[in-house]
Amino acid sequence: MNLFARRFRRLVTGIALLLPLGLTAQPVHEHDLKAAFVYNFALFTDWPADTIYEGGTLNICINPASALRPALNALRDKPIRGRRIALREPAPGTVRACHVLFLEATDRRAWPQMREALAGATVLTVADDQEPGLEGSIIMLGFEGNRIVFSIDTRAAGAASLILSSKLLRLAAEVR
Amino acid sequence: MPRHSDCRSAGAGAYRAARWSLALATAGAVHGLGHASTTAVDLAALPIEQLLTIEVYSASKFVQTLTDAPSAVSVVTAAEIKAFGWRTLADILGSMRGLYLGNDRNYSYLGARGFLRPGDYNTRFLLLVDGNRTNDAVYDQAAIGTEFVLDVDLIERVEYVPGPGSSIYGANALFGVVNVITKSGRALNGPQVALEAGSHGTGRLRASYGVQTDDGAILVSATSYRKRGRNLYFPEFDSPGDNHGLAQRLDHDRAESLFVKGTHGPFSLSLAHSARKKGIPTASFSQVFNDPRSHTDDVLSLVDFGHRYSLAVDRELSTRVYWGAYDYDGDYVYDFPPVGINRDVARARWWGAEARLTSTRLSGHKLVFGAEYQHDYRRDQFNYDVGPHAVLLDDRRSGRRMGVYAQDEIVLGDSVLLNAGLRYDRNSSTGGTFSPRLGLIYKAREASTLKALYGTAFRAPNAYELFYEIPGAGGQRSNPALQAERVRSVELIAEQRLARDARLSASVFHNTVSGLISQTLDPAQILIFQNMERVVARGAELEFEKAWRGGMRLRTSVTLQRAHHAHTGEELVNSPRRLAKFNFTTPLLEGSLRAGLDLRHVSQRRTLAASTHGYWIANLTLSAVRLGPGLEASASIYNLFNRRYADPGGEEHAQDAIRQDGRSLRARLSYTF
Repeated sequence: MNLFARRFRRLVTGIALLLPLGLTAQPVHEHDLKAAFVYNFALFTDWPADTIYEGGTLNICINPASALRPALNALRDKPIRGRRIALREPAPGTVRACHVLFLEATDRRAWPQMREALAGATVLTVADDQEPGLEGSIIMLGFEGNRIVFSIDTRAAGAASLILSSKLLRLAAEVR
Repeated sequence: MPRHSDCRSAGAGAYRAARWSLALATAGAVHGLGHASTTAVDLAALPIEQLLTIEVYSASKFVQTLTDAPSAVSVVTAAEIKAFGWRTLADILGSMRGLYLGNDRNYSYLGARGFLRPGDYNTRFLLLVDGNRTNDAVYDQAAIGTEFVLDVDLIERVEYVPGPGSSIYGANALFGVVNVITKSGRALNGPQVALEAGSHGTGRLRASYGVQTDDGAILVSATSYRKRGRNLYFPEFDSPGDNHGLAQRLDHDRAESLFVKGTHGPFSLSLAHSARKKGIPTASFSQVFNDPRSHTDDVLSLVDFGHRYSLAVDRELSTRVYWGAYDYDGDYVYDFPPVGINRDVARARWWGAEARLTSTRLSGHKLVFGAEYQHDYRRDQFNYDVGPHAVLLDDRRSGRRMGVYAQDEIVLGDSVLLNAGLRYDRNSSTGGTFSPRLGLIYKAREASTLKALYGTAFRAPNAYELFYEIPGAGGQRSNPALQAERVRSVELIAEQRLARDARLSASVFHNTVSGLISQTLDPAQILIFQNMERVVARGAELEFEKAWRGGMRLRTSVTLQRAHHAHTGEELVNSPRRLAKFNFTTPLLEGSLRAGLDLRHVSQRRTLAASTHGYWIANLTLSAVRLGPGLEASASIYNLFNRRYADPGGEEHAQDAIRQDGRSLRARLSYTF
């Protein structure tokens, strides 16, 4: 067998091996992936020992109209450090009871007021898609091509007395 | 916690390695679930390192197009550019609500709100690349075809903000602002090559390299593009002396471009350079028909250096300095006699600086203050006959423009937002101008937003319109007395989110342009630019967007508009009354393939002498984004049904309408190492 034929056969075998992978790699929905990220953020964050867990749940606050809510809701049965996840509606009056607060474009208007209410509260704020107007959040999700990346504001994390794991800091696209 | 470089590179290594393991992991997850798509539960079970490597189809991008923005912004992302096989910025813009295109086989032209003026090189649109102005200092041209400074593969997204934008951006933002945001080096994460081949001898090769550094990212990319072009028949020249109207091998197109971009902490630097040579098959400007020497060269170079500084948590100062150069050389062939070349030349050089302060310190306010200065130190135009040498024009100018602006976004109660902006510009050719803008945004319910917008914008005449003068047939007269043209715009917009991931928006607009600078013929039949009387445009737009969970996406819009001269009531040339867009993309074969269907309609348009027919054209693209690790392929058919259509010609053309391409094909392959 000459060199060309051998190379050709190797190429064909290579492509044949690749094809099944290509065919099964299903597209992943943005909301599902973002929800998985939010779940992981909570997993890799240490809340202070005196944090209150009413009813024993870890509260993730998210706008009821958010498109991400159903995806997060599906994660309710995956406990974080032994605590069940509960989804709550964020409101300036009760926002301090959140452990994670997810913010997106629709929350822009309410954010300044919520931010004031949050002062010093141990709440992990996660802003979607580097929305302008959601400044001061601890974690910002963003896009890079078709992949999701995140950046971390350590100053905001410090102000909330939260400790983010070194793993999160290492994987962040940007740490401020 | 400080980040160490070894941590970072370990992360990058894991990132690359994870690509394979991820593919296996996701494949495994999918097999375990039968044919259901991967859910949040499956994903939450994966290590976070792998989540970073997963590609998604974005559903909510359009929902996040700033419902609070004082405009109806259109956004096209890299994923859409890929899915619909768009080759130029013009292709991308042409898919957007309310925009339409023209092409005279030399340059591409953009129209909006019923305006696409003959002889206008897109001077009424401000074209930004990463916020940096690309319109040159002689023609103010926004280059959107193959002459655009950037390879479209490097575009992360294109935002089009319709309506007057002078209150922030100053001159040229008359009908809209196009902002092209480029990809970051991290998006590539390694070397990448792309190869394209298409109809009429088209080929394109791109080599790029992107890398994430300790405290930033670097992207370097070079592209070479060639098109042989086909022979074109123009009935206007169908005589034995003019090769029976056949322009042979004159539609050739060739472009090289280079893009370098780097960020390091708060600093950013970008360098963009492009050179294009395009044959002129139309014998424009009364040239001899079918002479192979007729062509234009356009070379644009841009350098931009920026810095962002966070003064406090709620205040940010961004500054930038920039430099730009644009060289134009056009060879036009005339029978003097004997037949010889006339060379048309422009040299533009400019530099500028801008500072912008954003503050959210005051509760309920988002304030932006800015100042900009630009020195156009060369705005030179030359024209000479090559042999025997004779200088027809030697015009050397310079100019300055400066502007200061302020904008405030004020929260008025729970559901009302007021956006007010004002900019003052001073321009060495036309003096001072105020451009105000006012937007009232009312959130009637969580999912419904109403906006009422008022704004004005201006455009100072460019050096070409003011000073270009060539005697004789095909020539032009200067008009240093030209004044700035102004637009006053009122717009009402209603946006409604429907269920999840669906959006409906409707708008009506009323534009009044006074002193519109238009190319006309003087009594001696010589071209001249003049401020015309008032022109009024009215219109309505409707757009619907929806994304399904399965990865299907639809964006469709209809525009109805009329633009006419205020006094005579006469309809404008190249002003379609109806536009329609339909963009649908869907995954096929369980997501291994993606199909993108792009339909566009432009109704009948008046030309200078008669009219062009309305048309529908369809473009179809099939792409395989996961052919193998890093390997992507796509095939596109443009003008699928081979429809005949034409764009109106300008005063410089013998053709009243210029026929556009029939069916053409393109195959594309890209590989990321």
